[in-house]
Amino acid sequence: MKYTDIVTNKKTAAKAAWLIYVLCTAIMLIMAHFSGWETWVSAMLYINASVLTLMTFCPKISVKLQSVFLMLLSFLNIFVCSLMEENIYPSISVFIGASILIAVYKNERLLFWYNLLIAGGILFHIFILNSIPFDTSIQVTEFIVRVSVMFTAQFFLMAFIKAMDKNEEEMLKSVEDAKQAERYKSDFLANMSHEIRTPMNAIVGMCELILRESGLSESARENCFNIQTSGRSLLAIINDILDFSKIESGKMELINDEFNIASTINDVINMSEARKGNKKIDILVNADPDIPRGIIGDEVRIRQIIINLMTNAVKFTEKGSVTLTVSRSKQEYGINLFVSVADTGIGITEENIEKLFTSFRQVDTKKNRSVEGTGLGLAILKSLITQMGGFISVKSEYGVGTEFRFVIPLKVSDERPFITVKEPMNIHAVGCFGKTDAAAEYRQLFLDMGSRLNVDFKCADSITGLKKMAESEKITHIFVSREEYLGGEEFFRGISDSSHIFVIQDRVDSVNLPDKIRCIYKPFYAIPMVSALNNENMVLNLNERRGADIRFTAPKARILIVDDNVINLKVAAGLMRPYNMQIMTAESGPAAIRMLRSKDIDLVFMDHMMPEMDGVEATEIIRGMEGDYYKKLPVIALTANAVNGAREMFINSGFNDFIAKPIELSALDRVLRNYLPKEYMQAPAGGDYGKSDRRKAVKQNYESSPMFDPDKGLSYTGGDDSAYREILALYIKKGEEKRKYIDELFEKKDWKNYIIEVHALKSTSLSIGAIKLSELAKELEAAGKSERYDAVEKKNGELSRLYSEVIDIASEYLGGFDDEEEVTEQVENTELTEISCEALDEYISKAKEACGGFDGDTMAAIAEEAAAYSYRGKPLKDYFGKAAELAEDFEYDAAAAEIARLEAAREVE
Amino acid sequence: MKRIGITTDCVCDLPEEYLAIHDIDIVYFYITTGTGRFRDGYEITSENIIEYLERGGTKAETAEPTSGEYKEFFENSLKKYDEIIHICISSYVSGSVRNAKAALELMGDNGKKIHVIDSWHLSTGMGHMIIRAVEMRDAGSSADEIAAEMESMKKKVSSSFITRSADYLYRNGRAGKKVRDITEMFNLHPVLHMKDGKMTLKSIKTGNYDKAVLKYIKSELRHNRKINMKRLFITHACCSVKTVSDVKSLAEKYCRFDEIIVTKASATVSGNCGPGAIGVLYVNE
Repeated sequence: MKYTDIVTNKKTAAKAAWLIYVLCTAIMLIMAHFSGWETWVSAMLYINASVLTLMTFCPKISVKLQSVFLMLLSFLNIFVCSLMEENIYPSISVFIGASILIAVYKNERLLFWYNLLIAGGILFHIFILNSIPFDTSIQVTEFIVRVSVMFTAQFFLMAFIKAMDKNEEEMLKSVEDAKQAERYKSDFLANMSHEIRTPMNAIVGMCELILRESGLSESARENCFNIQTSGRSLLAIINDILDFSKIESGKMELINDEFNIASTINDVINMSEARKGNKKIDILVNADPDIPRGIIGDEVRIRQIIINLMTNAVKFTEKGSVTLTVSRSKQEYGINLFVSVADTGIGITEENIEKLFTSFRQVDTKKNRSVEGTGLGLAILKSLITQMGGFISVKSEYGVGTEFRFVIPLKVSDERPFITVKEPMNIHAVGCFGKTDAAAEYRQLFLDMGSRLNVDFKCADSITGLKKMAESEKITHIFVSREEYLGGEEFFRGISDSSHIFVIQDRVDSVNLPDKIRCIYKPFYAIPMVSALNNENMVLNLNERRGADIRFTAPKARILIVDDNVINLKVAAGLMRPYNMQIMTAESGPAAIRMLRSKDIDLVFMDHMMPEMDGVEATEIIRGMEGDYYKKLPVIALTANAVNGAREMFINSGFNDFIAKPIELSALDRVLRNYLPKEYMQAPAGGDYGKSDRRKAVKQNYESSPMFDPDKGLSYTGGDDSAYREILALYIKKGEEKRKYIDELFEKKDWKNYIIEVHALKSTSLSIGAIKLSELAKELEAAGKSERYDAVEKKNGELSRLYSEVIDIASEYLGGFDDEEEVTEQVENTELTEISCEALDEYISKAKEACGGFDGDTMAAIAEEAAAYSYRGKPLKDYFGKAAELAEDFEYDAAAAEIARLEAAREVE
Repeated sequence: MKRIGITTDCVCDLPEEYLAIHDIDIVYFYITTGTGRFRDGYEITSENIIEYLERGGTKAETAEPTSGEYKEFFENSLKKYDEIIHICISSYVSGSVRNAKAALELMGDNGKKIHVIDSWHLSTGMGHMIIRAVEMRDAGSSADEIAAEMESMKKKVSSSFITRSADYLYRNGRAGKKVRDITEMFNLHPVLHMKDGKMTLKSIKTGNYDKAVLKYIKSELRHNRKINMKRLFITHACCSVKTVSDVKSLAEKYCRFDEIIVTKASATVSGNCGPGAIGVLYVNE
């Protein structure tokens, strides 16, 4: 039954009641006429019936109001009737009126007893009172007619009630069916999502394993990375559906536990930075240092909400900034945690704001076509926040930006602030952010932090201002933007002996700093700022991060990193890669404990804050396990807590040591040297990462420039020098060919393929550190896409020239390494065996098959095997090797042509 | 020259941007739900409170700041200003004037630097007075002159609004159950206005609510020759974009205001009037 049917039934019932009323009134009018009632009674009956008729047929008046009127008018009729007549006949109308009232309230049982009562009354009148005359046949007929009318009316009323009951039953059944269907749908969604999630996890995990392998070609690595990225996107969607189905079916349970907001903010920033990629937007963070250290709530869900809002903000913002504000207001029950995510993105229209939190809707679909999403995100967030007793709101101006705010009431377990500064009285810090895009925000944030932390913070507008301040007062710490630093490098170098200097810069576009000057990566906010002031080893120096100071490797050491956040795991694993250790990861405490049962792990890095079982709990369990191994196993806490006394707290909880997040390489190095078995450590000379000294030596003779900056390229391989040189060698090898090809496409005005090639050049050049070339390629790609071919024509010459120069410079740089055996083609000294004709035919046939089946791997395997042979004195590698390379670039037709060339030569023979 | 600060209660419903530009500090009212206590406008919006109540939320009590909170607020404001004009919501509908004055007593001599004005109005009715106070301050008037002007101006401001029914007024104890039932049964829409600081029933509109709203606008603005055409506020609680746009068009048709500003009602006001409540607030000559 549909809702419209229910409405129709209600209206029909009202009309039936009206019909009975009219019939009743008609009888009363007849009685009035024959019994000689006063005229006003008839008039009143007419008016009442007319009013009710108008009400019944007026579409704007509700059924409820009609029934109320019906009741009132019926009472009036009953009253008048009983005034006018004393015998049973007039009362019949009254009875009918009363029956109608009972019918309106749909009480079938009451109506039944009421009928019995009327019947009894009539019998009482006939046999006891003798008030009903049966003297003439007319009188008998009159009695029969009156009683029949009454009981017919009663019959209709009973039927009406039954029909109403049936309708109601059907309606309830429909509602129940709908609810059941909803449950089935939710269960189905949950089951399906779970079934899909399991293999998807495997796909993403396997990609990770493949990506960790060395020797992958650039294209294979890119393809694998794309699979992994798509897999992750799909997993995120599946998780959304799972959450949504849980919320729909009321199965979403919140797990309230103590947590520290520092860990949440750290995770959110890691994720947001990862999502930001190359977008030129600033992520600003404003965290209130007075937020209590221990708050009780569902940290996983709160993190999910903030990450979702941040991801959305980053997604819809192309320029400007995304600002995360986290603050609190003190309440009797604890605090209200207030979070705001404001962006300078595309904004939302007023009409769309109304639809924003509706399930399955992504507003402004036309404009957002390029943006992925199920439209479930905000509906889930709202449900979660509501379940936590909080509220979410949005403010937006179309084309200007959007701000999402939410507030959640939380209990507090530890009132102390989540960040504190050691000896604030001894700190005199100055911020100098003069020329950065977000200078005003930084200045505001910096001064605000100073007053909240009770520390002497001042701002200098320029280097000149800073110099004056340095001359007149003592400055203990200087926080300076990258641009300001570059404007006064000499000054900062000079003052670095007496003050701690921190340069705030982007990961992507960072400069090298001298040893005493340290770097804070953006976003610059309370936690890294306080860590810098506390000298908590949380600030990274660019050179340290790149593995330049790795003094040992430990290939035999087995390390377990435990963190519930995948990005954090990646970051930690990436930092440890230069040590060439065997890294294992676990995403929860219980998983880590399971892995430790094999007793072959040498060192554990354990995140402090994790859902279900936190790091402290997991460590306690490990320490409680049977055997000396578990008592002695070094467990190091990873934490974003920037508070004094953290080390003591962790050591008391069973940890051996702690490292603050973000992890600093020198802190990691110290921990590894202290806790790894000494026999595992070896000199790094032979390892992949032991070439840093040689790189340094080469670097000394080489000056980085926007034309070619190896440091920049190296940052894209996570400091992996070997991988970088591999990529560089490949770039050089294919460079000249590509350059010619681009020129050829330009000559032919084949803009479609030109844009594709220039696009590829943009990313490959950036990945080796050829920034200028990458930017020019980007410019030409944009010009090509917007069909500004005149701009392309003007600059293609410059592109070609730059490309050549980059290849030359890069070759020169690569030539500086004296052991290029891994990256340059090796000269085969061994003598090649002349292949037999049969064997060659077999290779040709297999190769043709591989090309036809677009099977690059088989083609590569054939090339590898065939490389041991020559044909008519010419190495087979020349043919098969080239074909394999073409196949690797998905140019299977060209690869087949290469094989056909060999086949033709064989046939000529 | 003394630095004069204009401050007010968050229920003035002026746009955040206006408050920021003119450096008007606001003190927050609170809304207590079954789950927590939230600052009106900052932590909870009108949409939030109405949705919470429509969802069957157990309670939603509104509360003005305590005298201690007023004291803290005034003390912070005095760091920036020498004298302060604080414009409060009508003392007949809230205890804010009482608490603010109690705060002045707690502040001793510093309390003398603050003029607490009982606006006799709420929402953007207060907004009109705040804008006037800002204009006077910027023109160089003294705090006493501004306070005197406020006392005289509050008799000229017209604050009225129409509500969908008396349901929310009943929920907050401002109307009886019978009144609520009758308005719902007969589709009646009360028009409330502030008369000498008290909230009273001005008239009742009947029938379809959208049409009743337009009838209300007509009765307020048409043939009203006394209106000062400088500015009109249209303040609403969760009305659709279309309703607001229709009201604005009608207001433009009847009167030629220099500017018409559309604002959203605070959670406190919305929680008392219910969804769909809308008002036109202006100043008479």
